[in-house]
Amino acid sequence: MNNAIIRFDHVTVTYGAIQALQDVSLEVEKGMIVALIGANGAGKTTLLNALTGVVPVKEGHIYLRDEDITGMKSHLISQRKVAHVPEGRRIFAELSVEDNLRVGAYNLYKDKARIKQLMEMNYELFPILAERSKQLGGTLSGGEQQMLAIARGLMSEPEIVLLDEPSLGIAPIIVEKIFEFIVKINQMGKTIFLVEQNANLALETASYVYVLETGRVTNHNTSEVLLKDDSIRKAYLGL
Amino acid sequence: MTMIVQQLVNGITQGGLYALLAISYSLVYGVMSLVNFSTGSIYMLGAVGAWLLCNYLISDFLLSLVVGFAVGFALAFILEKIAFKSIRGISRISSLICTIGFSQMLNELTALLFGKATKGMPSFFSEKAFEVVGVTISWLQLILMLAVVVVLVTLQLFVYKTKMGLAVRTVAMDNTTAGLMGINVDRTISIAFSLAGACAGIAGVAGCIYYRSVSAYMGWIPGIKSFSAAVFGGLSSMPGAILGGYLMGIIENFGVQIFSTGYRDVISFVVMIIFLLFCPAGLLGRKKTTKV
Repeated sequence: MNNAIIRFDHVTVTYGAIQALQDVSLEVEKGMIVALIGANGAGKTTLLNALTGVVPVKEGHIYLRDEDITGMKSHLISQRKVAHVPEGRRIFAELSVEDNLRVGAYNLYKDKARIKQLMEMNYELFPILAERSKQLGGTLSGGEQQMLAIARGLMSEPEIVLLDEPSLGIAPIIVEKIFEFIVKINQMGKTIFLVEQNANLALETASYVYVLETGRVTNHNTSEVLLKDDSIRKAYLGL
Repeated sequence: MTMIVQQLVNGITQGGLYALLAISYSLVYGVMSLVNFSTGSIYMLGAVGAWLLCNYLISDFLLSLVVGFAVGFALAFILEKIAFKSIRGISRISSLICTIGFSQMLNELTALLFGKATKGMPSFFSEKAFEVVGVTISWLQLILMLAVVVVLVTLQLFVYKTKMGLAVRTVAMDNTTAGLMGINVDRTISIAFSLAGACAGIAGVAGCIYYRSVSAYMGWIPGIKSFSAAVFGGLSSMPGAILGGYLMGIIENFGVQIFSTGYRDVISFVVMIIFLLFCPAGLLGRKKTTKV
């Protein structure tokens, strides 16, 4: 698969004596929605954090468009058109919705016209954010915060969007909406790497899925195949 | 009445110095969650820099302030690079002790090279500007007040109106996420730390000109007092730190008026302790509301 835009090559991440990721290899193909599923504590968030330089990689290499980005600082990876929408949304609670979006477009700071354009695009995508534009980020509901987190990521004009548990702690009806947005964003031509505990949703949305168990990739295939896989059905879909 | 106004004027002048130092604490605390107890030493070294300038090169007020800025900025920049960068993320108490250690080191090194004796500063603008119903205000007081306000306003503009300022505010809120937004966290911290140093340096110059003396240990009391002022105003809030600084100056001068000069340091701390008992977040400090 040489269309890989992200490639993990035997990556190991440790927290002290604990191995969070063990010898993980995976690829995300350009233009697709790829998901990573697994239980709580399997290392899903660690994997994304290793990718964007939030946690150090102990062994192995991570490539972005064939460039070795192992150990690179977060802001440099962000400048390479990667938007990481972190777990728990991490909205800047004391900034207004509009300013949160402005921070997302930090590298375009001087280009006011472009920022305005991007903001309008986001408001069109998430009308509720337009209504709340002057409100402080911390006053939004969980679902609204998730939309804001995604919109904030889109403000940097990314080619790749990393989504960490976008369904976490959000009402099911809103979760559905958010996954509709994810598909929409993918249709805008952006590659999506989705980390999700909700295997059902992930398998429905993504075309290719990796399964992570206690720090190891134990299975990976297209979602059609995995949906028929008995072990997956039992462990993750409760069927 | 005359006395009240007079003490108010003195308090505002002195409070300006505390405000500069308090904002220095607040800026560092914001981006690093670190109380930098070497702030007082940077204050002192700013003053020493101004003394050297006035004694060996040229006795100039404005140039002294520039030297204070430069010394404070450079010193803080170096300190951050060699010391505080490497201890970032370790336990708070260790980093706190580290800043106290550096403070001692700077004070003693200065004492060694500069001498322990207190040295005099030349006087600037000592003429009386005006006198209304017994209240005297010197030009120096007016100019110092103005200089402090100019510095504080400039700093606020920097923090709230520039790209780097946005980075500083963002890093203060959540540095991991700030990095994900494309903000260079290391550089932002370095700049905030250096600017904090510059504020302390300017405060040092203003202080040594106001009191007309310089010594290697002059930073200790103002350092501690303005830390209290910053806590008083709310350590995490820059406007709070400014307010705390001015209030501290005013309270102190009224206290001296009511009791006696000997109690100068006691009064301000007692007031602060009592206040914090009832309002632990400080005047404008944010009460942490975390949404789960």
